[in-house]
Amino acid sequence: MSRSPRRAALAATLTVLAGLVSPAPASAHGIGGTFQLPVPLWLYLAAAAVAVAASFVVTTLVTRGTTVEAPDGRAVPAWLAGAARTTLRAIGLAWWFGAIGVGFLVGDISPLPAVLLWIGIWVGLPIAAALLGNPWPSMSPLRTTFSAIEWLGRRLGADRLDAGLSYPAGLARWPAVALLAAGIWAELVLPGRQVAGTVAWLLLAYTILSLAGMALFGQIAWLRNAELFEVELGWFGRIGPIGRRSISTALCDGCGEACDPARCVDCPECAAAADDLERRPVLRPWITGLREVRRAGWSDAAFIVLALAGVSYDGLRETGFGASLLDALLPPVQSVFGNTGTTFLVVESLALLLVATAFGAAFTAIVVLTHRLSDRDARRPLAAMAGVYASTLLPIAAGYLIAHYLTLVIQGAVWLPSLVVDPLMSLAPELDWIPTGLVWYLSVAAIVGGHVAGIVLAHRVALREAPRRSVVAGLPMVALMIGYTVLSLWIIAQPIVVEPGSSPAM
Amino acid sequence: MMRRLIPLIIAIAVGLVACVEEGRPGDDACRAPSVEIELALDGDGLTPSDPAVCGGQEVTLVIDSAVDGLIHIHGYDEAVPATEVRSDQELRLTFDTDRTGQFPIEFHPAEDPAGVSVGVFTVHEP
Repeated sequence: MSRSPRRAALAATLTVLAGLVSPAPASAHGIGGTFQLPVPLWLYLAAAAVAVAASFVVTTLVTRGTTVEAPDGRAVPAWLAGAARTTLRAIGLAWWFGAIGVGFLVGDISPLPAVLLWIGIWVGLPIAAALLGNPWPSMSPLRTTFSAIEWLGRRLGADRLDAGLSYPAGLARWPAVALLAAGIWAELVLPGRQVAGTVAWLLLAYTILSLAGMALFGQIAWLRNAELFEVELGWFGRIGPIGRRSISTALCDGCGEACDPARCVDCPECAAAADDLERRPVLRPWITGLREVRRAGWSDAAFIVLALAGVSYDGLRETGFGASLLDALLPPVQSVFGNTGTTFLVVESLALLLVATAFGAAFTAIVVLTHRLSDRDARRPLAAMAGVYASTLLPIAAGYLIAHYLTLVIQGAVWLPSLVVDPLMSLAPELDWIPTGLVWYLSVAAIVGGHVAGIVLAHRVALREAPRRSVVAGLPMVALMIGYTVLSLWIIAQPIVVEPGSSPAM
Repeated sequence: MMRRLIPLIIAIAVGLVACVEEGRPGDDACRAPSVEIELALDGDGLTPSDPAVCGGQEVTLVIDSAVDGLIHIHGYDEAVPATEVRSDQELRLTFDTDRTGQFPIEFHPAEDPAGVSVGVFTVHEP
């Protein structure tokens, strides 16, 4: 296939501009510089066909059988839960503060902080949460640190550490949305995002912000509404088979979910509020955690759709389409900022903003249409519908997350032990021992599997919200899911083009 | 309603499907024991920027450069070590493709040690 020389010229220009800003920018995806072959055409077509066919089978044939309650799940033994909690807490502290320490002490030559943050926390944890369960309430170094400070304060005679400001209810989870936007921007656009010192500053700044937030509004309010990992991993963790049940029913007061006090499982608010001994893990089938979402709102919908847009943009910008988008944005920006590093930043930021806006607009249009098509007497407010339907997109997002970052996470896992021993070992391990075909099949299976799960969930919501016209009311969402799934498959079937702004991977 | 929406959804899916193209060389091209690709390198990058071959072939990249510097294929460094290119001189790199994947081609201009991605070298499954 032909590639326009203009595109190469653009990439070269952007690269040179990026060079002005930082010594070694490269995408998070490119830390190891490994790019698998694109999925072949026949596999792409077959996967897309299966996704479309499964959608219609589920939505037209399944018309009954919606038990509202998810299964209770089997309780995990207390000693095992306790051991896992302590281990996770130690790992969380070592991971987070280790990255900060190495970043400041060892210097910019070490890839360790970037691997710990971008591969481990940013990409690895959401995948682990979807495959297993949300580790963050036990693992969070922010929670552990604040609790430690509180404990120390009490020992010193202080009654409470937080300023006692009440969190404005109208803000909902918009602070988490804003922080997610900032995080995605830092991952994909920020110059020098892989440099150890930059990573350390990012982590330190976020630590200070979180501690300050908890000190102002109280730990629970901040973790519920603003701490981005708590919110994000709370969502992805609902896919995983390890749930979290609150034992103390008083904690479920004000819980956003329709928690029966007797069985409050995976309510994010409870997870944020409960102490170690007030919750314990339960085992359940995958996806069932998402069946209980009831009271999400616009800020939750925005958070989920933004997360989808961020991952998709990372894949999209490596394709010819992504290059054309940047190509189209460059001249107007260049006429304002000239040949400076700012131009590069603005072009990339605008492209990210455009993709996120397109995702948001598509989702909003679909939800409004679904709302109109639902039973007039049974339907709930638009905001509630937006939140609940957005949550049904999470399995597809997890599927694409796995497909897009599978090799990167494996590479990080292989690389990490030797990096911990020698933080200066800058050569990423080769992955040529993984058969190309295996990566293809796993990626496609993850996306199509996520799609089928999403369709089933959305159909259940439609049956509940619009019992008399569930097929018709569910159709816009089916269309959106097919579109998003085929887009995800399309991205992994595309060859990469010269990465704008990229220079040799570390 | 349902009847009207189904064709629309199928049309959207088919439209997206039609947007993908197979970048793999034909079977005949893949079976050839050796292949030679001519590339032009200048300040704007590599033309064409997406040379593609198959695994198990002896590949010769003939690079006609207008600039001075070092060129290397990231991830393929064992077969093709970083090699100096000179303006107005033809560089021939011959090697066997023993790994499949997509490998960024990087150019390090003489006056600037920071590398620049100028293209992507693809080795398809044989």
